[in-house]
Formats: sequence, C-alpha cells, structure tokens
Amino acid sequence: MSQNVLANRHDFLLLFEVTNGNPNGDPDAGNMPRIDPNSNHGLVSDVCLKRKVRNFVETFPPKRHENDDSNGFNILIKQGAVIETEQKEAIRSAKDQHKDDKDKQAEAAMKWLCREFFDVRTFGGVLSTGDDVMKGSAWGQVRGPVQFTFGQSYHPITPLEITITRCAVTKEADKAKERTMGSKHIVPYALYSAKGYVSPAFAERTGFTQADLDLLFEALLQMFEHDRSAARGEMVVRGLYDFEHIGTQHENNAEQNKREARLGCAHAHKLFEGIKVDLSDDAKAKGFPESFVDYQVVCEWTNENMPKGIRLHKRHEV
Amino acid sequence: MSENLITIRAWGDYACFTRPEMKVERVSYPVMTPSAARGLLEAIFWEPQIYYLIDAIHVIRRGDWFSFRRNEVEDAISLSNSKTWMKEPHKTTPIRAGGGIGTQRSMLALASIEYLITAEVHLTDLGKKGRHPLKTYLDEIKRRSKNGKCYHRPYLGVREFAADFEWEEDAQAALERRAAELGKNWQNIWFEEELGLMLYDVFDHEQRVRGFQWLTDEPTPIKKKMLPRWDGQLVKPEAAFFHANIKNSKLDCHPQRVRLVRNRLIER
Repeated sequence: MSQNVLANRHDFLLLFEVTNGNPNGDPDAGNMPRIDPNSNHGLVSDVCLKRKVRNFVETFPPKRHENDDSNGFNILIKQGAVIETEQKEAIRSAKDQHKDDKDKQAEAAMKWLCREFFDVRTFGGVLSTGDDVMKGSAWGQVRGPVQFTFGQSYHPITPLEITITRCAVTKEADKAKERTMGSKHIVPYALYSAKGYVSPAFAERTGFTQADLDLLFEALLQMFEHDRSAARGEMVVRGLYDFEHIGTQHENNAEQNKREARLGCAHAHKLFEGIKVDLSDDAKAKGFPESFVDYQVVCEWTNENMPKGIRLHKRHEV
Repeated sequence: MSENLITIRAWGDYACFTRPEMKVERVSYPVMTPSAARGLLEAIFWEPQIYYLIDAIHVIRRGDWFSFRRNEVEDAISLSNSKTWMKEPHKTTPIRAGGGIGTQRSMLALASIEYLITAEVHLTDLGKKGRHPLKTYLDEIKRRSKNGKCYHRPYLGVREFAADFEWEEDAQAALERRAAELGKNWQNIWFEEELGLMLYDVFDHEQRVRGFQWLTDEPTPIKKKMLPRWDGQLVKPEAAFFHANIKNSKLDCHPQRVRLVRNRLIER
C-alpha cells in the first residue's frame, strides 16, 4: 500500500436518467420500479449502484503495476453463478505470514483482501472471523471509504406495466401453448440523483488511492453503457459533480491544507444545494417531465461564490 | 444548562436504527437511539481524551415509515479462508450475489427525519491527565460542526443513510425555530408516547470514563515524558436498555435521569 493514498475528502452528486425502463426492481412488489409510497418518488438502492460499479471494474480491470505492493483490481463479490474461470492469476499471494500472532494474522489477511480486491478496498465488507480469537474484534469489519446513498427521483414517477408476449415458454407444462403472456414494468421518464461520500480516514485504512477514485468515477460514468438490457430501458448519466476538499490555506501551507482536506472545508449539504435541478417552464405547464430537455440543471457554483477550499470537478464533462 | 452541553442538529432522507430483537429483517426504532447519536457525534469529532454522554434527542421531523426489500449477500468474507488464499490465490472463491443467490431481506426504516442531539462532553481519565482543558475539545467540536468538517461521513443507523449536520447554540431555540419553519407547534411534533424498552448503548458509559484501548497496527513506542496514547482496558460490548418516553417532542436519555437495564451475563 505504498501508493498515493487518497488524502482529500470528496462529496459527489450523481445525476442519471431512465427512459422507458426499470432502473431498480422492487422484490416486494413483483419487480415494479422502486417507489417511495409517501412521496411517489422513484428510488434506486445503494447496492444497485455498487453492483454496477463492481461489474464495470470486473469487465475492465486496469492493468496492475509491477511492484509488489501495488493494488489489484479483482472483485470479490461477483454477480450470479459465474463459471469458475476467473483470472485468478491477477490475485497475488501475500508475502508476510505471521505464524504466531493471531492479531497480526487477522490484520495481514484484512490488508491482503483490501490490496487484492477493489470492492473490499472501496466499499468495505464484513469479515467472518470464525473460531479465531479475533471474534468480536475490530478486524471483523472493514469500513470502506466510499459511501452511496439511495438514488431518488426529482419528481414523482408513474410506473407502467407493459404486457408482452413471450415466444419462448418458460415451463414444460406450457409447451403446447407455444406462447405465454408476460409483463414488465417501466418508468416512462425520470431523473434521479444519488449522493456519494469519500472519507479519507477510511481510505488510509484500506489503502484506497487517488487512482482507485479515478477508476470509481470512470465506472460511475460508464456503468450503464455496459449494463444494457431490455428491462433497463435507456439509462444515461447526466451529471457527476465531484466536490473535492483541498484546504483553505495558502498553497505554501501544505501541512495545514492536508489536515483540512482530510476533514473537509464545507458542509456537504450546502455544496449539493448549489446544483439546482428544476423543471423548465414548458414542463411545469405540462406538469411532468418527458425527457432531459424538460429539466434545467444549473450549477450555481462559480469560482467567485464557491466556498473556500473546495474545488468542483464536473466529471461528466470530458 | 451546564457548560459542557453541546447541540448538534442532524437530518437525512432516510434512517434505520435497528432493533436488536429484530435483527434478521431490520426494523427501526421510531426514533434515534442514544448509541446512534453517539456514533454520529463521534464521526464528527472524537479523541480518547473525551467521551459523549447523550443528554436528549429532540425530534423536529418524526419521519414516515417505509419498507425496502433488497437482495443481500449471505456470506461474510471468511478471514480463515483468506489466510489460505494469501498463500494460494488460485483457491480463491468469490462471493456470489444476485441471480437467486443470497437472500432477500426487508428493512422497515424511516424517511425524512430531523433531530437535535444534546450531549454532554466529558474528559476521560486520560483527558484529565492531558494538557488540554475541556474547552479545547468543545471548541474543536464547534469548529468542525460549524464548518461541515467530519472525520468520516456521519450516518443514521446504517451507512447508506448518510446524515447532514449543523451546530446549534441552543436546543430549545433551534427546536422552536425549526418547528415554526415547518409550520408546527414544537410541543406537538410528537406530544407524548411511551416507546417501551429501547437500546441505550452497547458500550458502557461508565467503562468509557476509564479509558479506551487502541487496536493499533504497531505498539506505540513509549517515550519518556510522553503520555500513553491509551490508558484503559478493552471494553467488551454489552447491551444496556432503558425505558424510552417521548414528551414534548423530546426523548430524554441522560443516564442520571433514566434507569438503565443491563443484560449482564453471570460469570461462570
């Protein structure tokens, strides 16, 4: 873990849209799009977003550096019953084995997991310590630096049920029918936002680097491109506003800036409030959004009014 | 009002303060627990020289119940397996998720909540031996919560429910101000209710007075004249409960005013 461990706090806002698709099905409601019953706003779970990040990194792992303690980009929690043909050569064995000290062993195992697996390093995980003396110790949990909240739509959604004819029957009993009716649910159009937070204090513990963060943003921007399916409709990332905390002091005072960047320089909610998302006047008259054109996304932050010590990266503008 | 009392306003879109008696399918308490409040404050600032004693939780927005079902992974990453993997990486077996693998679990949580946490800040035995008076720590807590600084992102029960926070000078004034902004009478946000037994904390506050042990990577070299970085014992988690009563939108939970019920294991 000798690389450039992330030292700056980041708060980011992800805007994404769905057109004629189901972004995240609700198993409680026959796979209807998730909806908050109190407000009728659409929801996308945090785990749904994390799944897509994992799948992206699994499909496009960056090349690993040659030196021994560089981070690997394997994924530990994989989707579905994948056939046992993983690129396991990418996983490297650990060098130091602590034979006697149980505490050291557990620590070494945790560090090894963080170094080899991108998802453990990024999102953390629960480790079962088995019969070890480590039971109940702090090594039983890895808290990852990256935290996602639920995605929420800006306006109430109207899920539709679409009935389809399936040419392929799914049950042996229906063989004579040749065709059966099926259904799927779609959201005609919705714009969602999800918030994410990166805590450098945890990055230090898992060895999460700046390169890992860049990969995370790349994954977030491209995850829907490689997750196409008829059920999902069209999903597009419309914005990734990344607020990086860099410190309020003069650049000569690097030590103090480093301390400030770790803890942050402004309230996250105030930074997010600067990204205003509203319906356009036409859409207001109509009452509901039909496409991204009906939205006005205004970033009110400029170099002048930005709180001191914050740098905004619009990751979606390449 | 004592000198060491701080008030932090915290809010978020969702929250789940899981009841320990219903852990398989997570069900939230109707209001934040003192231990969740402590965790939130510790995310903003904490050092072994101090500890927080939650005084009360004032409710500004009660929130609405909502349920949420997700596919969850059943397996935990096994440390003993990973020791084998460390030697022979080709034996690694990834954990499978989705596609009928794993389990579906629902969560009964709260949506749209806002609280005022009042807490007493005390010096631990280690802090009393240290160089800094309590005011140093109080100032740091104030500076951090005013400027949005935090050690890690605070959360409301579970990490996907992130919390926002703000410093408040006075709890009662803040409650009345926020209630007026929401068009409510502050007493009637949640007039009165007995909530039954509620988790107080899993760490004994009396043990925390005595100190705390770091689980460090390396033992800190003891230099002469240098104070030890920790001084105390490894505190074993032990649940304590209390009778939670809401009155005038306030959950009083100061251990001097509520009776704690402990589930002490009889030593064999």
